[in-house]
Amino acid sequence: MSGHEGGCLCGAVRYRVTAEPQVSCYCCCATCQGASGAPAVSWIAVEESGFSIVAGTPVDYESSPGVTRSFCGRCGTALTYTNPGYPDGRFQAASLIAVASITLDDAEAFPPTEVFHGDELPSWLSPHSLCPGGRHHHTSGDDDNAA
Amino acid sequence: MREPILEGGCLCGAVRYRITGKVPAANLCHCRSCRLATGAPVVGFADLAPGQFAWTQGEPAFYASSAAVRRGFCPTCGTSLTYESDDLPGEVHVLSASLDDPAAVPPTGEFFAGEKIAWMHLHLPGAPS
Repeated sequence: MSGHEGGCLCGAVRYRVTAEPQVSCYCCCATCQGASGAPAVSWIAVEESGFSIVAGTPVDYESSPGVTRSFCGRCGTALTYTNPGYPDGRFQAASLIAVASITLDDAEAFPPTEVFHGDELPSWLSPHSLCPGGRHHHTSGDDDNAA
Repeated sequence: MREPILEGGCLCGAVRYRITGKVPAANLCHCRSCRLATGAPVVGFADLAPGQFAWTQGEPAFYASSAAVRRGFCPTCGTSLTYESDDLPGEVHVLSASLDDPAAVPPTGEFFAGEKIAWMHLHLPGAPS
């Protein structure tokens, strides 16, 4: 894979992804909502060695113990998420970083196929309307491929 | 009769705000600038009239995403909070997922639907599909 570049709204922070995404998903958890200000964030998770910052320095914020979210300090764009709880058995990677996929220069490159914590969405938004046919991992348990 | 009050703020709690009175309109926005400001594929707004919004704690940072526009966010945790434009004098548009109750203001319309990302399947109830 030749790689994908992306960055924040103002252009101060730029990154390059050279690893294949292990997952492309929505996360609708309350913390992702709180970190972005939006109802759901789309993420790709890649092997950490396949991600590099190529311009600027993002600001880190520890949103839960051990969980680091980075954003651009100049314009506020949420950029990455890392959690030592991942990778777990589902991922073929030694360490993972999640990148907010909408910040890729080709924002449409990786359509989400899974939804995490869809049951935490605001009640006016259904997880199945967000990602029809996707795998749905609710906080209260999985609900795969429900229409 | 007391006016309704909604409160909200950023993820870390450093910046807080208050909305006084009934929220006159709520919309989704699909534009590229809103997507990149948040890092999210679609954004919900509580669209307020002049005088309804007040910062109550902390100091937001602002970024001018275009000459007439300033976007407020928390400098500590990055949460996107507000959108203001010289073209909409006095109005504050609040990112509704930053409300203490993110479900409090269901959107009824969509801005910049033409910029919707190809895999964004979301349709509002009652909106044409």
